[in-house]
Amino acid sequence: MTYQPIPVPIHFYIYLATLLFAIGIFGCLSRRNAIAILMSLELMFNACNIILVAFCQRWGITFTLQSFSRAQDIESPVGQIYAVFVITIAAAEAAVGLALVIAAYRHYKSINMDDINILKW
Amino acid sequence: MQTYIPPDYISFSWVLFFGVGALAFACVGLGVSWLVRYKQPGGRKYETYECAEEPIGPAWIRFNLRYYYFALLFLLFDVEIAFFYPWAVAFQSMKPRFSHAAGTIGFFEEYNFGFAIFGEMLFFIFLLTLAWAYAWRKGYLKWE
Amino acid sequence: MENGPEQDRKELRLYEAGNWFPPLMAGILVVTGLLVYLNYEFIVHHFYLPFISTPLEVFASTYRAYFLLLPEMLDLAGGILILLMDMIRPNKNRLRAPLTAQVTLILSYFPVIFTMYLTTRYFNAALGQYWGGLETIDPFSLFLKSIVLLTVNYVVVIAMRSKELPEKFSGEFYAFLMFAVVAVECVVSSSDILAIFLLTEFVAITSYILVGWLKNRPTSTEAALKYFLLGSMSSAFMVFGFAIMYGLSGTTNLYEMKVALHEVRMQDPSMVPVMLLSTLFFMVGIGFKLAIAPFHMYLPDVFEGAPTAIATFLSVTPKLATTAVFIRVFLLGLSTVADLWVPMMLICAVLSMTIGNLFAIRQTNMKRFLAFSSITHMGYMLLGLCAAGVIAKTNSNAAIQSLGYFGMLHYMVIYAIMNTGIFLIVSVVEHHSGGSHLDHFKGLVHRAPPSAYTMLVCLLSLAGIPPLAGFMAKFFVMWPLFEPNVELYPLAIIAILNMVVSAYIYLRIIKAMFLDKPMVEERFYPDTTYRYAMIPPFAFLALYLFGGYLIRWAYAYASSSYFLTINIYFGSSGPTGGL
Repeated sequence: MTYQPIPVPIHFYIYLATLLFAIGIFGCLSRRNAIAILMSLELMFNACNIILVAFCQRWGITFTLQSFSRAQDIESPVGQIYAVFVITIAAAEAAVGLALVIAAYRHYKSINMDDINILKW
Repeated sequence: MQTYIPPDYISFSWVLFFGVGALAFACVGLGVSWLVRYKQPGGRKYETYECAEEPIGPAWIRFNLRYYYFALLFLLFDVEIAFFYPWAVAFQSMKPRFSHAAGTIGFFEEYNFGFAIFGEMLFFIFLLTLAWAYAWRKGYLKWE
Repeated sequence: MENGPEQDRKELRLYEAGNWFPPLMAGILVVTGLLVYLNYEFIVHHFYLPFISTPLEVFASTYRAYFLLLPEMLDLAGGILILLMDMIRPNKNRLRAPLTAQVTLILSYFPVIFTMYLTTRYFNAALGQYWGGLETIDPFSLFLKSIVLLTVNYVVVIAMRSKELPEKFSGEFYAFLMFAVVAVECVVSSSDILAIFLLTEFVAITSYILVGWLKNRPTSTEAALKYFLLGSMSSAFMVFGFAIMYGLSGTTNLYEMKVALHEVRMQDPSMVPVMLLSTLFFMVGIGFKLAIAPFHMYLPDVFEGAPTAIATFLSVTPKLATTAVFIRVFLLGLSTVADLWVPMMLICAVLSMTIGNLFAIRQTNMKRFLAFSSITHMGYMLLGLCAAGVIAKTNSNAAIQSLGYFGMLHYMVIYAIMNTGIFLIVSVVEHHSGGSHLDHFKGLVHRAPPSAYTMLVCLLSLAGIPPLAGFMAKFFVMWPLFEPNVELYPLAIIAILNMVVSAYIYLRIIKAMFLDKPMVEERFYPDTTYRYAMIPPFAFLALYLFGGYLIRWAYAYASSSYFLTINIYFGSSGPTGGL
């Protein structure tokens, strides 16, 4: 009887990603510190990355004619590439967000979102 | 010969082993050193660096904003480099090949995207360089 | 040699003087020369011989994808050119940068119109999916591209004359604007959830920066921060939805997803809740981008805090792009699971119309008023999508050919042009009386009659008063609700009630302009640029009323039968299959 290692089943990844995403949403909604909200956002994006990479493994070989290449039977990297793009977008957003937080701090002397409240209904 | 396919929780259990192993590694190391070492609290033990610079103040200070610019520029190149890996992998299979076979019109008879891929990466690098040159020209690399 | 203070100072001076350009160029030349020398054979064989040995038509058909991206490339080149100008001579681009932007925008009309002409005469000359299905070139996208370019022309005009934008960073401002335009142009033709996510995020990130452009104004920074935090949260929702869609269907291409989702549903009905979840997440993300009702909180703050030019931009251009995303995703990728998203869309439409109107009643700031007005109009626009979705329940291909799709597109174009006209006048008034409060508009007819009458036409049009274009827009978006196989009568009743309320809110502004006494009696004369810019709303109206041939051609071109519903793969005739 040989031991056949099989990959980790996909629903484990989905549980993990959903948990991370939920933590991210909770952080975004409950924290008042702008930097903490930014960190929660990163968590949400990374949860999406986990799902994408997991499904990329799931869908590995089934690949169609017109995506990225005419070559047949190529392993589809689309989920992983999607994850790379998500990482980049998250980094760009973090950069812009930090700059905005600094700009807000100059005016309001605080990064607490409750204190930044000139604009109202 | 019978193939054994373990249930989900067993196939996932190596993650648990890793976790337990990491925890044990840390605990054993700290525990053994706690057992073996001399215990002399106080004095220089409480300083940040026992045998180097004297600290000149608390660590909870406001850092210069310049660090932010440098971190941003680092981010620019650090993350964008991530695109080079998939590009390189794809380029391996699609790099330019010159076809001398009879009956072909020329280069484009095969499904080659070599030009396009190479040119696009050149353009990508050009954009990165532009961003970097922009930061340089605007003086964000100076430490004043 | 001694390394004294003199030497230090000299080195410092060299460094300070910015004498980096000659050594940089020399270095680049040396490196390039070395590379060429070392790879001579490679370069000749792969970059020179193919060019001289390939017939031109083969070359053209191989690189057709690049030619079709010419408008985007021109705008990108314009943005880079502005950035380079800003690098070479900083702080001297107050006029040069907007002129460069305007010229590149006008130049990029030509490839769009040429491709339109080409695809009208030789239908499948260039239509199809390009870039591995990331972009679909079809009449729908070309038509929206031309409208996007038109609106951005207005934005540049407003920004050029604006007093509030600092002179110091004008080069960067227009560069960012051009990059955003490139992304918007790509969004309207993207047919892959990867491209949609990437490009909508691109538009969003540039918008965050542009909203917070006025660093000295606390409201601007605050608006940008709020917009950023809510916006990136919504995009996280969107990408989560996309990830699950990818997991369900195994593809990111919307044409393939349409088929794949249907198959999954037939084979495994237990997947329906997951589909519902992913659609819901996507809806949250994209609904935020379009600012429809439960996700609209940020829009008034952003409009109030942002520079007027950017408020104009946000009220029109990204909304056109997002409408294209709505149409592509809901009527193409998710059209086989239409019964899952139509109820959500109905709720969003009703909430948008009602909430927008109710909050607009009490607004005294013109920009906040316009923000709520735009929320309302997005609600009306969704009526068309609801109707098309109901048709898609029974026949997923018929949704694109339905009246709802046509009405939605029609509504969006007329809304874009009328809203831009209103924002032009708002910026004129802001320029001359220093604010956009309702008090500044009091007695506008005594102070600047042409501006007041332009505003009157645009406002009545948005309110939907019969002879004007806005009435036709509302008519065409309501009509599909009464069709025999749609029959969304309650929705139509709510929409009509809301139109009554919205007539009141627009008449309130008109009353202030025409019946109230002005705060200052002094007249003002908008300068030449503005007077020219006032022409197109009127011209559009005149065309619409009297010479409808051109407009009818445009809508016929952009609508129904020319939207690529089937998985056309024209490129397979060419050597590389359209790349």
